[in-house]
Amino acid sequence: MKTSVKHDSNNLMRLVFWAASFALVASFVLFILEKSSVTNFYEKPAPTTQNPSTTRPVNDVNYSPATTTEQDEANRTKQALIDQANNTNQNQGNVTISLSAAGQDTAGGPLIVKALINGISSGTCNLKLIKDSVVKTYTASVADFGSYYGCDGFSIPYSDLSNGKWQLTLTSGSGTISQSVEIK
Amino acid sequence: MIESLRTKFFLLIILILFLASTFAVLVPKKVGAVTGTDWKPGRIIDDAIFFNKDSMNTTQIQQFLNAKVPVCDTNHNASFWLYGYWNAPPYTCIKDYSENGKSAAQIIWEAGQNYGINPQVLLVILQRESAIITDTWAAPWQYKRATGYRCPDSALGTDVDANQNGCYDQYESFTAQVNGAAYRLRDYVNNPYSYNFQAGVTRNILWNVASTNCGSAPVYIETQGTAALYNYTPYQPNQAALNNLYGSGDGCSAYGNRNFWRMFNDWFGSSTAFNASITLSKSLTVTSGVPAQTFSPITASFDITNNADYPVNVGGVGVCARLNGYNFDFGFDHSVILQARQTLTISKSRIMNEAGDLRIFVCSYNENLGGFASDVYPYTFNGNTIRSLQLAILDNPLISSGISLSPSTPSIGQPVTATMTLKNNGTTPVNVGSMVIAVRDPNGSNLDFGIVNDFIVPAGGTYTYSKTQTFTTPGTYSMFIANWNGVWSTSFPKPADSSVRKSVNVIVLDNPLISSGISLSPSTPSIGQPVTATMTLKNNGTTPVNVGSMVIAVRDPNGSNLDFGIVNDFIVPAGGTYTYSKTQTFTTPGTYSMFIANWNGVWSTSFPKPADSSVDRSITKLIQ
Repeated sequence: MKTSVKHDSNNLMRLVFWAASFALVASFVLFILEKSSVTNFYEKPAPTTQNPSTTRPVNDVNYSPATTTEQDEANRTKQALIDQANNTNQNQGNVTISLSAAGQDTAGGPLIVKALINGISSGTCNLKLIKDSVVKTYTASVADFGSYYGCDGFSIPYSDLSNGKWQLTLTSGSGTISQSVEIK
Repeated sequence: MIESLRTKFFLLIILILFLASTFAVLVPKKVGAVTGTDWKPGRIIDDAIFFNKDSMNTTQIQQFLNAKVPVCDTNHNASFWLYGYWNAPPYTCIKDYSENGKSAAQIIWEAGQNYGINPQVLLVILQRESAIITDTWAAPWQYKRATGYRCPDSALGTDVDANQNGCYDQYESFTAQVNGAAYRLRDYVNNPYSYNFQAGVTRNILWNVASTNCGSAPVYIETQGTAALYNYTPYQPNQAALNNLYGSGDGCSAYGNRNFWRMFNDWFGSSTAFNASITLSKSLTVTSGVPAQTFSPITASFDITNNADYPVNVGGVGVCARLNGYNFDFGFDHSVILQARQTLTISKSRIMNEAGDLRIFVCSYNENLGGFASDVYPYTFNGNTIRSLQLAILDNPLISSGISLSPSTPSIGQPVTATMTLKNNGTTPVNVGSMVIAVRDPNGSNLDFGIVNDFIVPAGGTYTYSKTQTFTTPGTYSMFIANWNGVWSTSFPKPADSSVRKSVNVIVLDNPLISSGISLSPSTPSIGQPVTATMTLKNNGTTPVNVGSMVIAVRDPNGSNLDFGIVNDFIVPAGGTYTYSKTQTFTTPGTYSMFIANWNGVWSTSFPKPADSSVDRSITKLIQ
């Protein structure tokens, strides 16, 4: 009889032990998941202003030597410049134009046309706008933007244009690009 | 036994889990490199950071360059022609490089200062364009095209590029490259519509050079700095480039602005700032008298602006000041909230009572910036707003005449008048607060002359303090000039020169004394009979004493003044006596009162004192 009571008591202790262990482990796992934002059971208050940066603080200068990764990338940059030296002037005569702006920044505002040009360092940009039978032409110089060239920019007054879809064509040297723009 | 081992095993597992989770929670996450998901094409860098020209000084830039390449490969085994230049050892790392007597660090810093550009921006552009910052054997050709400035993709004619290396000849020096880049970054901002990209609008930005036909995507450009970067390098990274931040993407990837952003964050911290929209939009200015003087109001003002389209809690903002290490803050506002696009003038005033070089500065506090962040926050915009200045404050008014007593050697019971004069050398009246000549008697008790409140000294003029007091205890009295302006001070105002006495010790004498009181002759006069009154003073000192004017005053039965005559400059010789003697005739029968009186600026009937109790200084006499 004594042995039986002791046996039951051991079983009960073992049950309590396992239940406590499980609860402890489960709560730690949950705590870690919540802390690392994998879960978000606890609703945090919304910030009243912009969140601070999630990366490093401002002006936190890194005075460590260049890392291997940085060195590798720098070597690639250097090598690319060396390779480029052998291909200088490869764009001679092959003019490509890309539009960085072709539209109005605001309704009723001027039509802004801005373009990058590759393969030319001087000359003119010719802009043609066509709607129905109306043709408008404008000219701007090729401008030096520091390390590349582009059109000096067009800002066509809204009063020059009527609302609706216009066909825009920009040419410079042998390059040309077209697209439609909606004036409103 | 097995059961016991199993229990111990599980206990060990639980312990390990506990320690591991505790470690994971307590050890902070390493704040470090950005990831591709952090990239915001419209906000590569905030203006407060882009234009922070004072982020590093020359010494700090030099330290940075030294750190990036601790050891140079000066004798790197490579000799070759490239970009029109002969490159051969010895090679010079950028930390050791100089041009026209200026180090690379100096050149970078000066360019930043001249054009209001953060030198960190220039350092990153140098690395991005020529890898020169981390290069252990930087070659001459790299210095000649260090920032890629005026080295366009398109071909140049021999008229501007004689050596046909792709760069304009006149910009082929490190100095010209750095200056040119800084100039151009500034010009992109100053003349935005002369260029392709501007802040506050949406522009199509290419994924790669147009010839690749990779296309473009619209980007709303949030900041001027971001627009400037796109104007410098008109491409944005595609997802492939962002997925491999430190490596290559695909055939449509461009890396210029990705690398700028990533390098900037790696080397100099976040390129966007907490409350970055809050800028110091108008420099700190100070208004005061000319020159600035003590006891005159000094007002310091500056403007802060919220450039965002939403309200921002700026934190605490005010004007702080230090003089000789002591706090003379002007005032501070807590939890300042700026509405969208609001500009607020912060203006604080104070009166200084101490002269010297006062350092006045914009003062700010925000917990998210680590507490007090006066050096950087609100952020300096365009790099040309002043957040700190020095003001020389002169002493004014000054004590032109120090403590002066009349009589200079008073006796007990004798009224003493103390004077001192302030002179205002400024062009506006000065209210110094309250002034007093303070007095401590031989027992240390306060026997101050009277206080003058609102002691206003007129512009270019003087104001003389004058108060009278009578002392009753012989001994040494200490007297000093004191000022009240919120606190008591004995340091201000300052004396005009060393001869001016701000404090004196005065001996109040028990001397001279009345050795013989009022005596009449005849002693019982009659109506109409001439009466001679006498009294004698004795000087026990070793110097003559001028007691001022002496009189035996008389009041007739009707109270009318029938004084015996006044003796002016009543001088009692050293160790001797002086007898007053005057004659008078009375015509009205009745009782006359007679008493000894002294004039020394004020009338006194208590000075001089009688030598002993048997001496009468006042009598009554019935005359019939």
